Amino acid sequence: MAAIKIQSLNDIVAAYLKTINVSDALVPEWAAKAEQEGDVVASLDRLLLPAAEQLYPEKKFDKSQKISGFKLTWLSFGGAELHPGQKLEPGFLAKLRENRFDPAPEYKMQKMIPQPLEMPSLHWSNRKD
Amino acid sequence: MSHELINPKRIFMRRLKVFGLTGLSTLLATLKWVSVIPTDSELVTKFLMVLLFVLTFGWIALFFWSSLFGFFELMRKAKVPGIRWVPADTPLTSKTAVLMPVYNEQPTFVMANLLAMAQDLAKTGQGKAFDIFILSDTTNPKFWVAEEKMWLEAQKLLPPEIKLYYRRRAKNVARKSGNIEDFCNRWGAEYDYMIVLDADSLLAGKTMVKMVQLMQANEHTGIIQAPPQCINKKSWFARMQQFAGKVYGPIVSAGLAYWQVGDSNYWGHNAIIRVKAFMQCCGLPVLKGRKPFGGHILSHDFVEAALISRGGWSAWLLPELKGSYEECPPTMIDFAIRDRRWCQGNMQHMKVLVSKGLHPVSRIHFIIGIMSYLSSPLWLSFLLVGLAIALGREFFPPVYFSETRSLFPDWPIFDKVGTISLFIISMVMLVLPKFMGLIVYYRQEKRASKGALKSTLLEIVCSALTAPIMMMFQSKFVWDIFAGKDSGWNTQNRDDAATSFKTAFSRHIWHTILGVVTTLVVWFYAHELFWWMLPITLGLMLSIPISMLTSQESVGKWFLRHGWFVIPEEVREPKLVADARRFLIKLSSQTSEAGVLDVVKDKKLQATHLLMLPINGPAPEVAAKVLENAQIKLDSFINHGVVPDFEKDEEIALLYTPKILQEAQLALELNAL
Repeated sequence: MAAIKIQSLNDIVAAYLKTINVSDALVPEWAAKAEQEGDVVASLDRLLLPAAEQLYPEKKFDKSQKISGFKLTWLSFGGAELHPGQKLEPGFLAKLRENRFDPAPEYKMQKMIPQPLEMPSLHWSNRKD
Repeated sequence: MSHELINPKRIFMRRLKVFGLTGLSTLLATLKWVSVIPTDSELVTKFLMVLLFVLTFGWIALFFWSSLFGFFELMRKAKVPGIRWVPADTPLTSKTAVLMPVYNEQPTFVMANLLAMAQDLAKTGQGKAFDIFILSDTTNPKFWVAEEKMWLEAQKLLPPEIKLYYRRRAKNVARKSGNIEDFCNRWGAEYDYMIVLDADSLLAGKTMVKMVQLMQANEHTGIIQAPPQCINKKSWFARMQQFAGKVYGPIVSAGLAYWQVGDSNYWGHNAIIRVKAFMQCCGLPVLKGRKPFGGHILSHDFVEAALISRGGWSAWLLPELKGSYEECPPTMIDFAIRDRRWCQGNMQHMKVLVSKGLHPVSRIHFIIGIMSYLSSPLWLSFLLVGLAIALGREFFPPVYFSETRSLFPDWPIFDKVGTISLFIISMVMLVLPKFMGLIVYYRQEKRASKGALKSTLLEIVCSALTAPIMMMFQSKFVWDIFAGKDSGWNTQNRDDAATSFKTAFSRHIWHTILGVVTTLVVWFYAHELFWWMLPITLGLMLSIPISMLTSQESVGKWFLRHGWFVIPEEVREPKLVADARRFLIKLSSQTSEAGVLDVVKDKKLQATHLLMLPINGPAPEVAAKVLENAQIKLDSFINHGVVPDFEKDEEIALLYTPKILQEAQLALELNAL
């Protein structure tokens, strides 16, 4: 998106934090940790990953789901308001886990096999018996 | 098959009674018919007349005798034998998935029904034994986003012990059957049973618990079908169907249950299925050949019931299970549109009918399904042959003295009394079950309205007028299917929107013309048939106003106010239905018409969308140009506020590209800084 390439890193970080309702007081700290070049958004997402991993430890979720799930739970549970510093204490994390969103249970793959629906052979030469 | 609680001889006797009486009455009527066919008819004509009579009369006779036995069963309040009933407080020791497959349905409506069912389940105290799945095959991106939005909203309203899951398929292979199969492949091993719903289904919590209890107690049972009752609609057409379903439905269901016993059918929804049995037996093959007969099986339910029966499991239709609801099409045209799809599905069963190893009763289910539609062109042919004979007599008068010299003229004999008596017998067989249903209704339903008798009489008149229109619709459907036309997959209209003149004209103009032409031909050339043909020609001639008038909600409400076609559910709405309505009002404040812009603007919705995206499976391939166009439109919205007019595939392409969605949201935030 051309729209964000022309912005400064601090602006991008501020906008990113706004998407999770976190105050821009944390911009310098996050900007320092973010990648200066390349995919800045992905690098900011990676900063959320440790917390997201704790919230969604199951293997069934991939990284992007863990981060999205964390954001959703955080936003819905009012994480930013309750913990403006975005420091995740164990107690708060446990509360988040209780309220996390789970779109689907873990897969238990077991394939259904198509059943034969054979028509009886009408021609005498095709009859086996 | 499991009939350990019922003697197989008793099952045999039940079937012998229904089919023996059907065969015997058809035989006697046919013998009479042979004697009343004009003696001067050609041999081919005679043969055709007899063949068509056997098929059409046999069809009526089966319906009559089955209903008669259903009537007796209901009068003596007999339960379906062969199944072990259990006390209501039997604890659930199993896990059941409640499946709601959806395809471009109104998400608020679907979610309101699900929430009402979840709340009702929670009230039973056994809610923990159930998980609910929305299995979306939605292709409209706006509905897709709205479904996710509704899922998020529903999480706040859901009883805590019940989980609500959502999965959307990127490719809807094999339609509803493929959707259910996909669920089984991914999660089937986790569940003992699945309750399959339709988008308009409502099942009471107690009914669902009862279904699971029955499954637990009857370990060889594969399927239990709870007959659904039509409710909720307001148009005259729909209210007549609701009334007919309420009054005549029970004896039809009880009649079917009487002779089917543990080899019943599955109607595709409002049923519980043993997942293990389904996964073992019901993987559907793709039929050889081209559409409409080849390809994926459309009416999968009958085939699944046949396969589960072939696998040694029993299937039960249990009229005793109440609290099972659905909605019927609001207008005659919507009814016909649904019929087109069902017709193709049933015609496709001609290929399955002769498959090896199927239970004879499963084959009868297929024949009944096929005949439900094939009977229309058969009736039409029967009428046309009869008319042709009458016209033939007008244009080619009988030869009274043949070339061989004879003292006596060769009088063509036409047994008018015999014909009238056969007509009266046929009418009685068609109408009597309706009155038997009415007797049961008055006897069993304390809340039955006094207007039921007058409603029944008017319903009979209306059915007579609409029957020829449906006959023409279905005859065309059968013709189209044999000509190789596929029905496609359209969402059923569930809104009470009246039929406009334009729509009615385009759908019924040929019915009207045919009605007028037939009336004129009969009046001038076969006058003795005029009054006989009038019930048919009148319906056809008036098809446009009938279709429009019966679709009107205001007319339906007028009848309601004046005590016509009233069902008890309209007088005192069941709690479950009222709850669904309340949830619908609550959810309707959230717009159901969402879209990719909502995913960009709404932080929670974007997080929800991205959380769910990998569950959908791999993204479909999209042309680079489509995504490029979509990005340009999104850019001009972000930077210049131009509201984008996304094409459907552009919106889908964006919804499958998380990076663009995330960056667009950031760009919006940046603009706001």
